[in-house]
Amino acid sequence: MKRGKRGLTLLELMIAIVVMVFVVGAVSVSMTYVLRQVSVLAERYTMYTQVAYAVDDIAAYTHAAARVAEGSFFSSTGGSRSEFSFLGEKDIFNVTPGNLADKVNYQYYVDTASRDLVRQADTGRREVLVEGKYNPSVNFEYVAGDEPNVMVVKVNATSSRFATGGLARPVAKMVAVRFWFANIVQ
Amino acid sequence: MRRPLRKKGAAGFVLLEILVSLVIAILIFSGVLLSVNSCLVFLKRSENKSRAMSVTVTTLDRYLSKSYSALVPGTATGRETFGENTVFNWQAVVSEEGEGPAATRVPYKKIVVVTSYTEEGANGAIIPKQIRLSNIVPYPFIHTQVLHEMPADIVAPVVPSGTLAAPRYATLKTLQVNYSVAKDMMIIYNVAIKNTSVTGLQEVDTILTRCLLDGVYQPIETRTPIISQLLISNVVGINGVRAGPHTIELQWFKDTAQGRTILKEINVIAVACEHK
Repeated sequence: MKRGKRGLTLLELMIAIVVMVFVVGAVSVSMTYVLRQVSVLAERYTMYTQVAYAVDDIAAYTHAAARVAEGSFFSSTGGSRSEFSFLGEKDIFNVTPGNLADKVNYQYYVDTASRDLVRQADTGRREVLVEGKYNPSVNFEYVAGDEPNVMVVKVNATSSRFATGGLARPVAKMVAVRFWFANIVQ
Repeated sequence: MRRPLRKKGAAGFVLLEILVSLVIAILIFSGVLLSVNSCLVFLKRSENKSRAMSVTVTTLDRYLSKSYSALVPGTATGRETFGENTVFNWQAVVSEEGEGPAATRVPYKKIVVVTSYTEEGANGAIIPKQIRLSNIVPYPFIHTQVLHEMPADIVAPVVPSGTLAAPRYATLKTLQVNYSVAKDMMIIYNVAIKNTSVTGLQEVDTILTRCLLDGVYQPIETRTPIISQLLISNVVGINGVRAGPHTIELQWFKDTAQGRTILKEINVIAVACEHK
């Protein structure tokens, strides 16, 4: 550039434009990538919260179950099922094993229509534990050789979106529930 | 004379300024990208650790729910697959341990659960990882052992006869117990009898029962009328029963040869708590 002249030469301008195009392109791709990953991470956080809530809910309601429903018993040789029904406390913070009057029939299952993992009470009260958009599944298992009042519960949720970094798509949690007043093996 | 980067009064940037700012922008976005990727790697590691912990805690809880006698020393293994690419292999080891000097050693059972999985390192290398948790199941402070029988009339033992002057005690039932530490014991027994023949029996005729531990009589014995009292109950207390196997023996006889009396039902309850 000549002394005293303003602005850029054509060559400088073209170089700057080319560089700018590359940089803006890279920044744009990076931003899209970053925003997508942040969105995936936020979704995983929600999934984790819901799966953890479901596991805690199942443990809290089944611990003090007064009776396991006829169709929910396990064989002593072990087995698993995707739904579980029992007679439990209406108020789980007021455990009264000798009083059947304040008990409610509960069922945990994945609703075939909405795909939600729910806790359904025979009073009509229904609570969604994991939303259907996360494709939840639940597994109640009795392992042969365990005490007859111990059940392993696994809750799984799967995102429809892939995250990079080698993250597994499903979010899962398991817990061993020990029944206080009932056996799950018949 | 040095040339200024920008002429006084001139508007806009020179090429150098633009290039420098672009380089800075690239560095900043590279940093952001690296941070996001680091977050993903960190999240993956956290998820794996959380899952491994979940497997370990669940397995440990399953073992802790077992009674002391149901926990058999040995090793068990299993695997859980969470997700698409990580397998969690668990191993549970149950061992019998003890606390204190040999003479007063209090046993307990130790459970160690180790969950192993692999993770990919920054350079692509496979790194083995482990979560290890342990807990103990203490030797029970109180033991109970119950024997309950209702023999059919055909096989029910007949009470042997003797005299008070020359008692002829015979074994009614035995119960084996085995404790790893010294215990204070209480033995409770209820014996229901049935008279299949009362011919010649007098109201003063009696049945005597007593309890022995390892052949040694433990007071007191019972003496009850045969005709009017068909249920015999007794409680025997024994302090300082040493560790190891022991035999509890119930004996009986009636002080007359008249009539025929058989056992209808019996239960023996041995309660033992830690000797202090």
